[in-house]
Amino acid sequence: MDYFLHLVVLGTIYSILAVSLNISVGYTGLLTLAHAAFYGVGAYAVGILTVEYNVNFFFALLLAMPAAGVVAAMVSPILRLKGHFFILGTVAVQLMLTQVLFNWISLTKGPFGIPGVPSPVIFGLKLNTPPTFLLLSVPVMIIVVLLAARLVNSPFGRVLKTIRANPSVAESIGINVDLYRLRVFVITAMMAGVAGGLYASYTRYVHPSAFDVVFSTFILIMVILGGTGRWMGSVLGVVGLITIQESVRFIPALPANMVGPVQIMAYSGVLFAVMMLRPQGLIGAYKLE
Amino acid sequence: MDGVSVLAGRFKIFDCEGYMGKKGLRFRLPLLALVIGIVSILIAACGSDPTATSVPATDAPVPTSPPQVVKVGTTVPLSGSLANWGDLVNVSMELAFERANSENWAPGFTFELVTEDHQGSAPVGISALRKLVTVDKVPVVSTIFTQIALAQVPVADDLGVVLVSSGVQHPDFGKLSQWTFRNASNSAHNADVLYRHVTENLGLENPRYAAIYHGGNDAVRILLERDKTLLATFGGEMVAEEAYIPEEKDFRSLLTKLKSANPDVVHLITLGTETALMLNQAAEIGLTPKYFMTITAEGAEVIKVAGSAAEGLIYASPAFNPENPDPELQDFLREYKARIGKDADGFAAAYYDGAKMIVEAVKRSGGASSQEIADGMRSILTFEGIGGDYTFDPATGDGWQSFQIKSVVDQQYKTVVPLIAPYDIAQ
Amino acid sequence: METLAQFLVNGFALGGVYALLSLGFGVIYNTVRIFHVLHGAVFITAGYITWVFVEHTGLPLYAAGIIGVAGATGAGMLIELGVYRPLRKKAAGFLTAFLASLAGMFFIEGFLVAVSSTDLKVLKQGPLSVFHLGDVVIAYFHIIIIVVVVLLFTAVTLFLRSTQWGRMIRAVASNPELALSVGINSNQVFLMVFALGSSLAGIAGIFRAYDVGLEPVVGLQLAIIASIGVIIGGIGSLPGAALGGLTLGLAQTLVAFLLSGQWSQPVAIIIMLAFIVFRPYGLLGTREHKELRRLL
Repeated sequence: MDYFLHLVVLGTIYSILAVSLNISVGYTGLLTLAHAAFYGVGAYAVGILTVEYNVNFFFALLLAMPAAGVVAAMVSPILRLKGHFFILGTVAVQLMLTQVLFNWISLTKGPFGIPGVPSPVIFGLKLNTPPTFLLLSVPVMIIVVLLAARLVNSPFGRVLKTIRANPSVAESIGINVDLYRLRVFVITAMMAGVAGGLYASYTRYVHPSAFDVVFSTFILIMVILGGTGRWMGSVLGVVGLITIQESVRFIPALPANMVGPVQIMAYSGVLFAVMMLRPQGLIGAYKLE
Repeated sequence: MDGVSVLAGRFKIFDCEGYMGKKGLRFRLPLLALVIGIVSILIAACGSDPTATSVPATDAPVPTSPPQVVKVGTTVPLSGSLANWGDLVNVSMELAFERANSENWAPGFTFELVTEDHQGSAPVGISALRKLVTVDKVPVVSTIFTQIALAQVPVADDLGVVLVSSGVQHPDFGKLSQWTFRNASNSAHNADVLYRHVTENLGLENPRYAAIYHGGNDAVRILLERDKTLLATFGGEMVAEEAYIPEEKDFRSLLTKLKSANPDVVHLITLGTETALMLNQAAEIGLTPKYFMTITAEGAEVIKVAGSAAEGLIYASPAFNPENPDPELQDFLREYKARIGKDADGFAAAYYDGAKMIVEAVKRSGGASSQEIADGMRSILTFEGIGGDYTFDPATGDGWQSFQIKSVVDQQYKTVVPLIAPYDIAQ
Repeated sequence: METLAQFLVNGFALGGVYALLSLGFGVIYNTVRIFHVLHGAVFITAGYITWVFVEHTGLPLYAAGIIGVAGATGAGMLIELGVYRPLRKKAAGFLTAFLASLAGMFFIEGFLVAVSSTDLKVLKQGPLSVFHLGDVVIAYFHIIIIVVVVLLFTAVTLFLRSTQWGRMIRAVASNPELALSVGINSNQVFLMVFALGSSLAGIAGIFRAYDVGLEPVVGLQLAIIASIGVIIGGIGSLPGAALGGLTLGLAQTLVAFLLSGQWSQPVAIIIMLAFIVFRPYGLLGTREHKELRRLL
């Protein structure tokens, strides 16, 4: 049961990531492979602030958002690119930020990582087990999902859909496409930053390898699997992917050294099948370009 | 998880989709209900898992016959670029438990290994540890690699499970929790004995070191810093240092840079197959220092890939001596070779000894709960294993292995100095 | 100075393999307009097939190598028939094709780890044999690489310029609709293009496996390198693709020389970003290329 609740905690954190990435991929048409980088910035912000500067966790979590947002704004020139070039640009951002985490040792401790991130405390209750941590991660997830749902159903969200459908038309009716893209990029990075902060305080250890391009791909698969352009789809994608991953662990007679490769084959196989048969994902709103 | 329950879980997801997908209902539904819905789907998907629920309770203390089965977990890399370490850990520990069971080292108890792949990744390592403790109900887990072990410490602390490592290098591992124990070699000692060998045994005064190191690993950084401390304290100079990333396989540029610094000793502070490629490429570009040193030459088929270029490579290994006629050691070496096809090294011996210590702890406290194992471990102050002698600090649970110097001679791994002491200076 | 000369030699050896890979990627991208991540899988397949034959049947290296290249060619054609052609039939967009390709790449990586472990597969034992030119050390094998790259490049250029197939390929590349209207079967042309590009990737894979060895993870990494080579060489230009790959090899080597080995991977990406921002048509591409207008 504890293990199952642990998966639920991871599920809430991944849901924040997937729902926020869906705003970029599904609603705006920005297919990015750099989401794990912003997630990492959030995790490191919380890790460094709480461990090195003894900042209160909740305050640190609030600061993780602008930290991720500022980094996203710094790399925003890649938004000028389109199509394959944009994907490659985001891969570039992801790989470079990973290198920074590994090599800026005075700030991030590089390959040593930051151990001992404190557990959050609410009203004297230390949230250091999966059931108690859910008291924090579920409300945060609900807030983020609610915000995302509001956002995409607001006039802002409708502008995004116009941009996705046809940027030139959007431009011609006076929408500043670049500005909207920038906003989406920064807002979704901030959401990823929140997820990162939760992750840091849940695992209580941050290390650059948790925020690499493979994890970025993993988040993207959750979004694509569930379906683009529906925030519910992202949550389903998270549930689906975790189920796939964990089912592999429980296949009887599968040697332990096959679990990792079979997990990779399982989720990449599912993504492949989805792309070939139903490119919009399980309940997606539109087909990918 | 069987196929039926997976399908059941999937169908529930699809039901949910049909319901939620209806226009109008989509965003008006109370979100809390939605979340509860998802959680219940997950419960349906995972809760019906027979493996998860049908684990026999091992809590009941029944020291008489039939013997109580003690499940010992391992979280190791079984896939990814570090997979060779996973086999090393598992086979070594398995051999120890098989012997413990057949020779009845801890009367009334038999031992069984349960393993999970951590894929060299910290988040996976946490999930793997939680699964072992909560699903498989293991009271003690052995782990490897600092970045994963450190991430596991708080989890072990919460779950109250003993976390043992025979390989983790981080100086704080034992201190971090009352549940962590270690019988490992020490990275700083590794650098010490190589320096001592080069200066005292080989008579190279004030050596000019050049280092090429894996940029993303903590044990490597500890070694590099220790090299510099040693050179500054006892004489010598670091004339060149170059970092690489593990994805890189063409090291000729870096080696050319080292060559132009004209070092006496090149320290390859590497973890995997890179060592062999570096030796090949160094030979190609004509980098021929007096000595090549590395962390370990035995895990990654250095001789198979580098062939003649590996000749003369010096490395430090935990002081276990495969020539020792002790029958337990010889049985271990034979069996290990039979199962993996490679010769066991000091690291493998350390994991064998780590398993033996768990058995000893169970025997001493007469029980196999986590608390009893931890108490038993804490009562062990010195331990004679097949991998050498270990000394423990009961306050932290930390213990260190002694070292030897080995070398590649005639395409074989040979011990050149059977026991060599580290320096007594602060890390 | 000798050191710099040594770096140039190292850079040409590395760049030669990249050039082949980029050339293959470019042949495919310029004609089919697909971001062919599975190119990395084709590359690695050739190396693994060769390794299996050398290690387990004791076949001589050249014979195993021919089987390896044939395997890669077949794999490339299978990918076109089994993945891209069905997607084209459904009028799927470029992102769908990209993600299908990426998923396929991960699947093959997982498969290789499952069946053959993650050990490095090297086609030889010990160092390469070398000769000295002044203070500069040159491996015979690297000379072979460079000569083969030059020959293959010439052959591919001649093939595209002066054969019927080549003219058909160029016709489809420059204007698919017009090519269709003059009776060219674009499906056949695409299949041909995949065979050509994949055999180039296969040769590169065998070179790599002999020189520094192969691991399952290098497939994705080198697919990215190949695409970057095409971008900095100039989309639409085959000499550009080869030159782009070569430039990347030289740049990685020089950065390792001037800065540190940790920057040799990021530098490829920094160069790509610089090109995309300041000179999107690359070294030899043209500003007017219509693909660019869609992407920038």
